[in-house]
Order: sequence, then structure tokens, then C-alpha cells
Amino acid sequence: MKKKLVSLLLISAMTMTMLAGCGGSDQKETKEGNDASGDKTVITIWTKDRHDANYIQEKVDVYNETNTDNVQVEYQLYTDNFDQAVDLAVQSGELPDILTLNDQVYNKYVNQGQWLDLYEYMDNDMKEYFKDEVYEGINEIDGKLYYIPTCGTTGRLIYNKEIFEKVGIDAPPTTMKEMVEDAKLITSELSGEGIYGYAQHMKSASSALERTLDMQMERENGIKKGYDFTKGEYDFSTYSEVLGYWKELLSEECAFPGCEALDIDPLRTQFANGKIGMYMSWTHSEPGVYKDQFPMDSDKWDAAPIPTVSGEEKGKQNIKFTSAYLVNAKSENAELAFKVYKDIFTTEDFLTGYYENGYGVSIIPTIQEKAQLNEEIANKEWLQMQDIDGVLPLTPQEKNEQAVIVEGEDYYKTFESIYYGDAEMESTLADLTERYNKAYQQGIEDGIGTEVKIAGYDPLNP
Amino acid sequence: MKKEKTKMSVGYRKKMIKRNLESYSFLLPNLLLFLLCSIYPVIWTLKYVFYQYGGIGTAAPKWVGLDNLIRVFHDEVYWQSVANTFVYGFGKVLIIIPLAFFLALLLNKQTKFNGIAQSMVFLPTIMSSAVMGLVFYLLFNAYNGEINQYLMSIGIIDTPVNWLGKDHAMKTLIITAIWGGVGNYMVYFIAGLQQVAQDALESARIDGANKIQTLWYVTIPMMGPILKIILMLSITSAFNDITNVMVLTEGGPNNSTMVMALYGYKYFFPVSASSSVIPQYGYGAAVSVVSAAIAGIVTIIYLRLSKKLDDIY
Repeated sequence: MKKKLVSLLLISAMTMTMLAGCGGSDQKETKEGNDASGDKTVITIWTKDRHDANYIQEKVDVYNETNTDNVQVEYQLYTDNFDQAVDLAVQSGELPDILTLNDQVYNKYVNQGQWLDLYEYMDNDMKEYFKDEVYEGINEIDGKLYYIPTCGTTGRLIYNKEIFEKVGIDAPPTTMKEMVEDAKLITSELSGEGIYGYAQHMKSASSALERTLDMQMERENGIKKGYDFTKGEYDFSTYSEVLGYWKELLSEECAFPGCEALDIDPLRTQFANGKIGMYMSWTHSEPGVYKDQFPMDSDKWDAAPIPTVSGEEKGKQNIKFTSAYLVNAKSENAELAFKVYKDIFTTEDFLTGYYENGYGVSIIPTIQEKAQLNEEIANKEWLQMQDIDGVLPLTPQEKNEQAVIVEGEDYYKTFESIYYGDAEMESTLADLTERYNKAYQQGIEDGIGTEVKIAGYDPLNP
Repeated sequence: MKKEKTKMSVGYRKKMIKRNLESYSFLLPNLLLFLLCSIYPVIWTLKYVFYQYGGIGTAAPKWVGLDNLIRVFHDEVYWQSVANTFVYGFGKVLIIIPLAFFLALLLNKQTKFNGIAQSMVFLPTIMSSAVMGLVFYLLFNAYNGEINQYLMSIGIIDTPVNWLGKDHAMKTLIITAIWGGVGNYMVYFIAGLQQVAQDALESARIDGANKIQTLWYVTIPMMGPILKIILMLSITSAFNDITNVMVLTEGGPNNSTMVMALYGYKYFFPVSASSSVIPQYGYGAAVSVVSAAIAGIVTIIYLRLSKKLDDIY
């Protein structure tokens, strides 16, 4: 009997341990947070960004020490699978009070009343201060403001000035033809020294082309991610010329060996080592990378607009928001969460410091004027937002990714079959156009997507 | 009489249940985990084969019947990934099994040196595949990889080989997989070798058989059953091996190293932190089910063909 009792106790312990193991650790952390802070109200913030985590944690610590609202802010970092973590939290009703903007997450839940309309709590001064950051159809929908972008990024050509001088190139290329010629020149003259004309991290086609080819097409003819806002349909036929140049750019005559399997950080290491003539990347990330991650003399490199086929400006290049916050409308402490958001993330001190320290490129005019930039950014005018940049409308797939479920490979992977494979250009692009439009129409028929067509759309004034 | 028999059997059954309650209770935690982690996901996957669904927070699953399965059969990239899986799987198995067996023969005797050598060969097995992938990237990359530099220094190649390019990426993946798995199979073979009856080996020696004859006519046949299991494990693991591929090539360039398990995975999760994904759970489930069926068919064929391995001893 005693033996049986011991056995049963053992079994109960094993089962309990197993079930406890299945429980989420997040819940535990939150509970501990409550206990630790005593009677204080805990406001939780989730971020997916590691690069600015220390800066924000410092601001949060100061806020926790100085606030008079009896609030304890818990700042938590989720760098892996942020989208999935948010999905599960929404499902279980455990979404934090504030979270960093992620386009997919924002668009997925914006029509489900998940995000707080900031206008409800914004005073007139705040509305006035951020009035230039309101974009109808993007962060403002049906008269409700869901987030305020404070920093943005866009693509630029990053080039090594020393290598350019060495082979006699006076200025960075403005057209794709010039770019291919410059890359060929550098590779032919300097490959003996291990220096090559052009590199791109083509291991992930979407990561590489989002910051390069997408931007080229936006400026070339106002097409964003294959979508023509005037016609209200996808049209990839106009990509053939630029893809032809890409094929050359990635050939042995121009490109750094092994671009097919290159990630962005190994590429940056080689650029910092002076082995790469040029590549394309985001404006917000590169200054910090060459200041701290892979140190490189700031005088040796510069940024320029991404070359296009014609070299003419026929449309603006999209600005992608990099720093913004969403407030959970279903939080028990939504009003308090808004106050925390306002007191930490929208002060001039926070925004100026963020820009000055190179965590993001400010898009707020007053901050741009006030900030004392370090030399990595100050001396490179093309790392800041210019006339060629603008905020473009959302394509049907950006509005709701589930509204355009394309059968077969997406356009990034399909382009891979053109520039690395033997796919025939015209028929492949025609098939791509057909597949995207079919998926778009299906989304509308299913009631998931809506028609996006802008009468008289001017790509230069989006 | 009949009533008495029924009474007896009910009583007997009760007694048996009571007696076995303890054993069944011990099985309960594992059974619960098995149901939760193995059976439930399989049922979930089978269900979503017939739906279009984008995951939590998206529109409710929409019944699409056999559309997802039909799409799989028309998906050229998927069938390319199936072909790649066979190249990868057979490439790996054909090299790793003889190599592991050879190492097992070499290091079977229990000496101090063999113990250290066994540990060294086994070490990659306990290394994270992601770390292994990164190390192999440093070794094989075209611009400053150690392999190219070594081959150039001894004059085997004149210019760097693009090991992760379209023409060689699959070979590089197979090499990585062999390096990572050979220690594991070597341990299985050593266990098998130690099971071989010493008296049979002794008889062969007395009969005048040399070492090769003993190996060929006695040792290998006697290892038939364990060889069958090792081969089956290596084949099935080759079908599910995706971590190496994810880290080294993400299935590229141009899908030249895309394997069927990774192809299904990418409809659920992004393949890397920098890549994007539009979740298609229904289609991903269909791809997974077809892939599982292919792996199942291969395993059945193998088990039929390898029946002889059981009969030898």
C-alpha cells in the first residue's frame, strides 16, 4: 500500500512537472513584474529591435525612477519570431500595453480594433507637433491615428571612395549602365588584389531586393512592389530592362565572388576591409554598422542615390518607417499606456538623442534641425531624407498580405530564376503578372482584400 | 453457468486493471506528451490540407477541398525540391554509411587512443547544426574560405571555387551533413560490432579465413539487422534535414538546394531573420503531407528490399 502511495505521488509529481513545463514563461515574468513593483501599475512594452534596446532601456529606467504616476515600465526584447509572439498574445489576450511597429502585425490587426486611436488622448500641441507624420491610409485610417512614425529609412548606394578614386571613377553612378561599367572596371583592374566592383547579399532575395530593385522601380516609373496604382493592377512587364542589368551586375565580371550565399553582415565586413566597391542598403543601418560593428574610417565611404535605368526621377522612392509604437486598445490601462508612450517616446530629448546617436534617421523636421549629428551622418547628405524620397501608398498585399496569396514563387524568388537561372525574361514576367493579378482578384472576391486604384496618381507626389 | 462465467471474467478484468493501474499510471505522462506533441499536430496538419488559412489573426479558415493538393502536384519548385531531397539523401547515405562503418572498424578496439578518436569523430553530432552551418560557411565561402585557400596552396585549383554557388552548393551541403552525422552512425556500428558473436569470429579464424574474409563473410552478415536499422534512420533523417540548408544556403541559389522539408517549412515560418513570409498554413500542410507520403513510400520500399538483412543471421 505504501509502495502504491509513493508510486502515485511520483506519478502526480511527474505529470505536474510536465504540465508546468508546457506553461508559458512569459506569464511568469509578468507576474514577477507585478510582485516586484508592489502597488505600482505595470506597463509592458515589447520591442523586436536590438540595435536601440540599450538606449531605450536607459530612458525607461529614468522614467521608472522619476514618474509620478506610480508606474513601472517593463521593457522586453523579442528579436525572434516577433510576429508569432504577437499572434499568440492576441489569441490569449496577453498582448502588452505598447509594442514596436511591425507592418505585418499592424496591418493584420488594424481592422480588429486592436490598436488605440491616439487622437483620443492627444492634446492639440501633440497633434500640431506631429501633423506632418500623418499619412492617410497608412497610419491614419478613417480618421483614426494608430501610430506616429518618427524615423524612416530608404535605400542608397553605399560606395568606397578610395576604390573609386583608385580606378579613376569621379562620381558614383546614376544609371544602371554606368553602375555595370563601374563595377566591371573595378573588378577587372583590382580583382587581383581581392577587390571587386559590386556586391549584394543575395542569399535572401527578398532582403536584398527590397532595399534595391524595389526602390529602383519606384523611382523609375512609380511601380511599387509590382503594383501600378494608376491602373489598379500588378504589372511586372516593366521590370525587364532593370533585371537585364542585374544579371550583368551579378555576373563574374562585376560581382564579388559568392554573392549567391552572402548575408548582409559578411558583406559589410568585406566592405569595411576595402574589398567591395559598392553595394546598396538602408540609410538607417549603415552608419552605426561602420561606427561600432565593423569599424571603418568614415572618410572612406559615402552614400548616393540608387542608380536607375534612365537616371531620371519619375517617381518618389519609398520611406519605410523604422521607429514607431502601437498602443494596445484592449489593455486595461490603455490611457495610462498612452501617457507612458507619450512621456518616453515622443519627447524632443528622446527623439533628438535617438537621431544623434544614429539609431534611426529622423523624419521630423524640428528634430532634423535641432540634432547635432556625428560625422558618420552629418557629412553624408544622402544618408538623410531628400527630395527623391516620399511615403508611398500601400499596395494591396501590404494592406493585407492574406489578400494576395500568390500561387508559386513570389516576385523576389522569381527574379532569382531570371538573374541566376535560365528563365526566359518576357514569359516569366508575364506569368508573374498573371499570377499576382489572379491572386489579387481572388482576394477581392473572397472579401479579404479591397481594390486599390488611385485616380490621377502622380508618383512624384504620392 | 453463463452468468457465473461473465461474473468471473468481469472480476478478472477488474483485478487485472487494478494490478496494471500502477504501470499504466507511469505511462500517463509520456502518453499525454505523445498525444499532445505527436498525434495532435498530425491531425491538425491533415485537417488544414483542405483549408486556406493564413494563421492566427487572419480570416477564418476557408474550405478549399482538394485545391491545395492539386496545387502541390502542379508546383514545379516543389518537385524540384523533391528531386533535390533525393540527391541530398542518397548522396549523404551513400557516403556516410560506408565511412561510418570504416571508422567503427578502425576504432572498435578499446584503447586509450581509440577512445579519444571516437570522441573527436562524435563531437560534431552534439554541435548545434546552426553553429555547424556558420563554421562551414567560413570554410567554404568563395572569397576567403579556408578550403579554397588550402586547395590553392597545394595546387589542386588555380582560382577559388564558388562552393556555395549553383553548381556546387549541394555537394557542400552533403559534405556538411556527413561531417555532422558520421560520428553518430559510427557509434551505432561500434555497438553492432560489439554484438557480433566472438565464437563465430574465432571459428572463422580457425578455419583459416583472413581478416577481409572474416569481415565479408562473418561480421557484415551478422550485423544485418542493425545495418537495416542504421540505414533506415539515415534515410529518414536525410528527408527531414533542414537546419544545414537553412543556415548555409536558405535553399538557394535559385532553389538549387531547396529540399522538400524546407519547402513546406517556408509556408509557415520565415527561413531566416532577414527573409519574409506570407503564411499559407493550408498549402504548407498539403506540402508536408505529400512529403511525408513520399518519405513513407521510400521507407516501405527500403524495408521490403532490406528484408534479406533480417534473414542472414
